[in-house]
Amino acid sequence: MSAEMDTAVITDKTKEIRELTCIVCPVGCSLQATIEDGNVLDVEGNSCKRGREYAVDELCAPKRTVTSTVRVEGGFLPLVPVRTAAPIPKEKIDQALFEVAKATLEAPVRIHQVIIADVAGTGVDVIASRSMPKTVGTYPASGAKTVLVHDACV
Amino acid sequence: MSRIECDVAVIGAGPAGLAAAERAKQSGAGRVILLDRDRELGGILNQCIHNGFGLQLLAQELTGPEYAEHFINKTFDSGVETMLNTMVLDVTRDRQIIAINSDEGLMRIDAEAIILAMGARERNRGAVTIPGTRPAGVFTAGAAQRFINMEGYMPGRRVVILGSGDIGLIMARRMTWEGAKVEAVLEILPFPSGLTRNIVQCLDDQGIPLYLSHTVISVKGEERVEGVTVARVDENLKPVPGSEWDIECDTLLLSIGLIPENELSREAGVELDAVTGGPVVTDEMETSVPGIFACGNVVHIHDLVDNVTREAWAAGEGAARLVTGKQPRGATIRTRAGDGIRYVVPHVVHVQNLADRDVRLFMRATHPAENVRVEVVVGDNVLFSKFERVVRPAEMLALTIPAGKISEQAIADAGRRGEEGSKNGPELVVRVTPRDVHKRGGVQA
Ligand SMILES: Cc1cc2nc3c(=O)[nH]c(=O)nc-3n(C[C@H](O)[C@H](O)[C@H](O)COP(=O)(O)OP(=O)(O)OC[C@H]3O[C@@H](n4cnc5c(N)ncnc54)[C@H](O)[C@@H]3O)c2cc1C
Ligand code: SF4
Repeated sequence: MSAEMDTAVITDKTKEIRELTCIVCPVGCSLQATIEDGNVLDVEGNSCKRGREYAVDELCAPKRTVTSTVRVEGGFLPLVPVRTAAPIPKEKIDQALFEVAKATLEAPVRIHQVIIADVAGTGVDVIASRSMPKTVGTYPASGAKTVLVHDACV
Repeated sequence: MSRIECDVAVIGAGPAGLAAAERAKQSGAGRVILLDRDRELGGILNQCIHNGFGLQLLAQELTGPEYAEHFINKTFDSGVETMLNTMVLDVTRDRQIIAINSDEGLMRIDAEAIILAMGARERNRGAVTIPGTRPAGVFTAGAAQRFINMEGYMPGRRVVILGSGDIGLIMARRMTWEGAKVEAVLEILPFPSGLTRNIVQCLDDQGIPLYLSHTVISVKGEERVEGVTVARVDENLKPVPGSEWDIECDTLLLSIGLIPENELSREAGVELDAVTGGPVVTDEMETSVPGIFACGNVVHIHDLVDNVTREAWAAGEGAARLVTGKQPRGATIRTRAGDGIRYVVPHVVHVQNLADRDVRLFMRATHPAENVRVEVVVGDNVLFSKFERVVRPAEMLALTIPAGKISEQAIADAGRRGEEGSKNGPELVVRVTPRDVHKRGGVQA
C-alpha cells in the first residue's frame, strides 16, 4: 500500500489528482487533492481543516519535524534527545541532521534550551527534548522545572 | 528486612504509574509511593525521542521525553514519594510488596492499595521461531531504540525489519537518519500493524519498501547476520513455495508486538484476560483481587500515550476512593466484545458510575472498516453510539459514555427481557455496525 501514497513532484500546466494520507493526527484521512499549474485547487476527504492545510503544504513545500540526539559531557546520561522546534522543509533535513551530528553539549541541560539556532538556515531552532542534570538524584534539575501546558488536560 | 507502610504503592513509573500516583495523591490518598527498577522515571518514553505524543491530551505534538517530563514534574509537585533502582520481586493477595534495592536491601511494603503499572515487554525471536542460525545482529526494535537513543551505539548498518509495528517503523526512519540503509520492512498480515502516519513519515518518506503478506523464513550468517531469506505468505500465513528471495543485511530488527508484563500479577492471583494478556478490570481499574488496581500497557497494549494517561487517572482515582472509603457499591454489569470488536476494557462497569460520571471504554476493532458506528448495546437497545470514519486494528478506539446516558432502568429492563445468549444477566455489548447514511459526518472528539 505504501507505494501509492506518493508525494512526488508536481508537473506543470496539467490538472491532476493526487492521493495522500494526512499525517497530522492519528485518524489518517485519505485526501484527494486537485492540482493545476503547481497550485492546489481543491482538497477532498479531509475531516477537518488541518487536513487541507497539510495537503497544500505537502504538495507545495513538504515539512517534517526532525528528532535526534546530541552528545552531552558530564551528564547523568551520555545523550540528550533534541528536536526541531517546528517542522522544517524536507529538503533541509539532511543538512539539519549533519549539524546536529556535529553538536556537543555540557550538562546541565534544561528542557527546550536552544541547542542549534536557525538550523540549516531554516529559521527554526533545534531544542532539547528533556532536562539533563549533572548527576544522579537531582532530576528534574532544580529550578529548571517546566510545565508545558497548564492543566488543559481532561 | 525494612518495613514500609503506605496508602497506595504504584509499581512502574512510566506514563501509567506517574499519572496514577499523582492522581491518587490529588484525590485524597495519604502516603503514595512510586517504585521503578530503572535509573529514572518515565518508563519507555525516555527512549521514544520521536514526536507524536500528547496530541490529544496536551494539544501539542511532543516527543516521549517531553511528555514524560511534564508528568514527572506534576508527580513531584503532588508529593508522591519515588524509589528508583528498586525492583519489585513479589506482590501478594493481601497487598504486600517485596522489593529490593542497593540502599535498603530487601524491603516489605504494606499498602492499602496497589497499582500495577509494569508496562509491557517485546516479543522476541523465540516467540516466532525463525529457522536458521543464531548469529549476532538480531535485536528487538525496542532494544535497538534504547541502544541508539540512550547509549549512543548503532547496532548495524544494513537493516531488515520484521513486523510493521510502530516501534519498527520509527526505528526504520531513525536508523536511516543515522546513516544506516534499511532494506525492507516485512509484514506477515495483509495490512500494516502500525499507524498510517508512521508508514507515511517513516517508510514512504525514506523510500523504504513495505512488503505486506511477507515474512522472514530464514536467517543466514555464522557469527554475525549476513542476510535473510524472505517469502510471500498465503491466506493461512504459510510461505508460498517459489516466492523466496534473499536480502543481504547485517541486522534484523523484530517489531512483532508487545506482551503485557504480568508475572507479578499472576503471583498475586489476579485473573487475566486471554485476549488482552492483561488483568480483568472494573471501571475503577480494580483487578479481580480487591485493592489491587492496574493501568497502562500492563492491562492492554496502547498505541497512544494519551490513552495510557487517561486510564491511569481512572486507576489513581479508583485507588484513592478505596483508601478513603468511597468505593462505588451496588450492581455491576459486564462488558462484552460484539461484532467487529476484539476486546473491551474495562470488563466490568458499576451501574452507579454510569449514572454519576463519564465512563470510558477502550477497545480494538477486529479488522479495518470505514464509515461505521461503534455502538453500546444493552439487550436490543442501542444506548449510545459514535461515528468513526475509519477503524483499524492498529488504532485503539475510545468511547466515553456520558454520565446518566445509560440508566439503571435501561439495564433493568434489558435484564427483565432476558437478553439472548447471556447467562449472567444483561451485558454492555460494544459492536461495530456499518453506517448507511452518506459519507460526510463530523468526527466526534
Ligand atoms: C517504541 C514505542 C513507540 C511508541 N510511540 C508512540 C507515539 O508515537 N505516540 C504515542 O502516543 N504513544 C507511543 N507509544 C505508546 C506509549 O508510549 C506506551 O503505550 C506507554 O509508554 C506505556 O506506558 P506504561 O506506563 O504502561 O509502560 P512503560 O512506559 O513501559 O513503564 C513501565 C515501567 O515499569 C517498570 N517496571 C516493570 N516491572 C517492574 C518491576 N518488577 N519492578 C519495578 N519496576 C518495574 C519499568 O522499568 C518501566 O519503567 C510507543 C510505545 C513504544 C514502546
Ligand atoms: S484531516 Fe483532520 S482528522 Fe483527518 S487526519 Fe488530518 S488532522 Fe486528522
